[in-house]
This record gives sequence, C-alpha cells and structure tokens, in this order.
Amino acid sequence: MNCEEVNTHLIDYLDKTLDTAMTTRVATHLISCPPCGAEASELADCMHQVAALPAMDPPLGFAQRVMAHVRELEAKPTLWQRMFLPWTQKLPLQAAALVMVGITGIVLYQKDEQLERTELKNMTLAAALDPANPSDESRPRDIRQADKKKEPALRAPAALAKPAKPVVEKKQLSSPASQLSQSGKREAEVRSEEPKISRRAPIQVQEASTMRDVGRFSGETSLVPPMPLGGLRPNTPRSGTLALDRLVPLGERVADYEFVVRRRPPPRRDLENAASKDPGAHSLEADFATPPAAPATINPRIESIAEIRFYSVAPEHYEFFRKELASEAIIEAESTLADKEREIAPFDRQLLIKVTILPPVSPQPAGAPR
Amino acid sequence: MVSEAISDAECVRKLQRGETDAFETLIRRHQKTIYNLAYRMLGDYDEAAEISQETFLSAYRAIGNFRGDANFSTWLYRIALNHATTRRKTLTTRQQRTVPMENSEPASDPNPGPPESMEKKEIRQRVQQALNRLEPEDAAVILLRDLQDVPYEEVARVLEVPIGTVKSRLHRARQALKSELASYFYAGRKAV
Repeated sequence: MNCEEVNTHLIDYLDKTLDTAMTTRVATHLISCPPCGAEASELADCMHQVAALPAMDPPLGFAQRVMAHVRELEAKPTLWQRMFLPWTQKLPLQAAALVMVGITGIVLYQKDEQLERTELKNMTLAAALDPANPSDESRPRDIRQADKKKEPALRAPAALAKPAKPVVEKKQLSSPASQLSQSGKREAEVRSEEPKISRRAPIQVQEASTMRDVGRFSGETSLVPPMPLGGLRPNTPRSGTLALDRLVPLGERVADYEFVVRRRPPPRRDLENAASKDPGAHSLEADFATPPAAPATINPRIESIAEIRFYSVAPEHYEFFRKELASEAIIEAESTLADKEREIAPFDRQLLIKVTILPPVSPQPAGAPR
Repeated sequence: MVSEAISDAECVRKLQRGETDAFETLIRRHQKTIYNLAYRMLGDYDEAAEISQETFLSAYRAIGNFRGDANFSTWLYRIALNHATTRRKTLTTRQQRTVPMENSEPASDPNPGPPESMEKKEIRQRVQQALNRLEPEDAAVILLRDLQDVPYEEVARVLEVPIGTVKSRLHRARQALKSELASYFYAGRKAV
C-alpha cells in the first residue's frame, strides 16, 4: 500500500471504521512511513483535542427564559391570525367592505354610462346642426350662443319636456304679411307640443335651424316673414297613438323617409298671389317657394341654415307626395331605409316624412349687405 | 409539565397540537448540546447564549413545518448551525474577530486539577482559536463529528450533503485544523 492509498483510507482508519485486514495494512504502512505516520498522528491528536473540549453548561434559567419568549409569541397573534382570525369578527367586516366596493363600482359604472350617452348626444347634435361645416368657429355667433343654451337641455332628459319657446315666439312674430292660416295655427300648436311627447334629437335640430328662428337669433324678429305652411302637412304629424308608438331614444332615426331638398331659384312668380289663395289649400309649391327677399338688415349668413319640416302622409299617397316634392324642389338626397321595412310589413299608419329644405344656390340679392 | 420520558417525536406532536409545555421538555433535553455547538462555533459565551435562544425560538415558530422525516435533534442542529454561521459572518465583517483568549470559558468549567489546568486550558484556548479561524462549514463538520460524535448519516442530513462529501469535507477540515495547530504542536514536541 502506498502513501496515496493510505491517505484515502486515513479518515476511516482514524474513525476505526475499516475492516481488520485494511486496518492492519494501513497501520503497517504508517509504521514504515514516517511522514504518513506523523500525518496520522497529528490528525488523531486534533480529533482528540476537539473531543476533549469540555461541555459547557448553558446559562442558568436558559429554558425558562426561552419559554417566556415562547409564551409571548403564543399570546401575540401572528400576521396570518391578525389578518384572518378570529373569523367571527373579520368575516362581517370583510363582507361589509366587499358590499361597499360593489356599490361603489356600480355607481361609477352608471355615471360612466351617463357620460358616454351625453357625449353621444352632443356629437349627434353637432353633426346634425352643420354636417358640412363642422368647424364651430365658422358658424354665426348667434347660433353658437343658441347651442350653448340648448346643451343643458340635452344633457338633462327631464329638461327635454320644456315648453317650446320658439313656437311661442313664432306666435308673437305674426305680422300682417304672414296671414297664418287656420291649419297653420294648428300646426304651430302641434309643434309647440312636440317636445313634450318626443325626446328625439332631430326635434332639437329643427328648433335650432328653422328659418323662423332666424329673426330670433339675429335679434330682428319683426323683420322676418313667416314661412307658409304646406297644405299636405296634416294637422297632427306626431300626435296621438302614432307619436307614442314611435317614441324612441335620443339620437335614433324617427322619420320613415327623409329628404334633403334645395329650393329652386326664385321664379318669376308673385308670391303674394299664392298667399292670397285659400288658406286651407296650401300645397308643396307654396312650401318650397323661395321666401320673399329678406330685408336688408338680415344677416345673409343666417339664411344658409336649413329648414326642417315634417309631413304625415298616407302610405298610398307617398309616391304622389314624392313627385310633387321633386317638381317643387331639387331632391339632393333621400333615404329609403323605410322601403325595406315596408316590404316586410306594410305600414298601416301615416308615414312620417322629414324634409330638410336648403336655400337656393342662386346668388344673394345685390342689395344684401355683407 | 410534560413527562421527560416521552420521545422527541411525541413532544413535537404535542407541540403541534398546541401543548406549549412540551416545548420546554425539548429545550431542557437539547439546550446543552445546542449551546455547546454554538459556543464552539462562535467562541463567546454571550453570543452562544443568544444564538441558542434564537435557535429554539426559530424551532418553535417553524414547528408546524416539521414533518418528522428526520430526528428533531438533526433539525435543531441545522437551525443552530445556520444561525451560528450567519452570526460568524456578521461578526467577521463587523470587526476582525478577536476571540477572547482569557476568561472565555465560564467559571463552571468542570475540569478541576490545578497542576494540569493551566496547560489544558491553554490547549483548549488554542483549539478554540483554531476552530474560529476555520471556515464555518469546516468548523461545523468537525464539531458535529468530533465534538458531538454525531453519526455520519446524521451529519449528512444536517449539512444536506451526501456522506461521501461529509467524509471528504471532514478530512479537509481536520487537515486545516492541524495546520492551524501546527506551531503549537511543533513547539510542544520541541519542548518535549
């Protein structure tokens, strides 16, 4: 056995865990090899010195002191216990907190929904007022002021049932030149009731853009001649069962048909003759006749505002209405969404037709101020 | 008071069931072993007392995690060595360790005999100094095997290494200790 092999077995030799034969061989080498013998002797001496270290007694009262700390730990609840125990106290508190969080979440969700709805209404109003010119700065200041007045009404649904002030003003606008017919008066009454029974965005648009409001916006109401009301317009376009059936949320389309027409250039026609006709025999021709030239004091930009009219027409008279409309004005756009609905289920009621009347494209009168 | 006759495993079960008094039995049974191990690791009486107390308190806090796969003493050794090793490193970084050479041993030293006490005391101090200069892992394996006479299998479980690793580490640690004590042994031999 060489020194390397002895070094390998030296630890077991010192621990006396080698078998007899191996122990003899290692012991023989250690006797014959002084370096290995000295190494083994010193290691054995180290082991002996360590093992000879005296056993120390712990301090007096060590166990009692540790147990005192243990009982302190036992009395003090752990973090887990503080969080969740005792459950008889924690559970009701946690349940109450959960309910409060839930209620807060529901309230916040509802408020968020209201905000979104308000934004949608505002966008609808803005688009309907001036779809071709969305820039607010390019619009007359008077209309912008009117818009601001109407915003609160749009945000608060309850305020939609406010009395129709413009119509009241329309009655005050009566001038000898207008000679409002009996049916026209009834029409005005009906229109005054419209906001009460309907909460639709187009109504708001109508109020804002009707030519009759021009004078109100410009502050010169007495100078604006009222528009004649059409004979085809029935007495109650949105009253009674029809109107109630058609109550829809704001921003939703309400009319069965919608037309955007532009007045033809003023013909050489004596409008006074038309006005002197039978008041009950109004026709589309009278409706779409270009209004008489406005006095020079009216702001010409105001005249670019469209007028919106509603007609209630029997389904069988729709084609006749359309032809007459086309003969009296230039139809620039028309919606036919109701056609599909009509194919599915024929209408058994009066059709509600919305006509947006744009002013003629002819140049302004030469005397109109800029 | 829990009977001293019951085993460690039974004491642990009682403790896990909430009988705190069973822990006192375990403390009384193992306090001397743990205290000696801590003292030889640190070489300081007060430090050893503090580490021993921390060891038992840690064991009490973690008694719910003790599954009984190993002996309670093995588990306790491991906790004590972890605390002692951490404390040794802390003390080493805080200051160059100056092991109290004199009066480091308590007055209750059981070794009597005035004629040989001075030489034995010096040898013990030299050995303690050498142990303190060893790496904590080397000191731990020497103390477990040579001082506490813990079987190789249990040492392997305490250190969480294979038995072969324990043996090789022990051989290396003994040689390191021999190197630390070489000058003393050489001087002694010369004197002899």
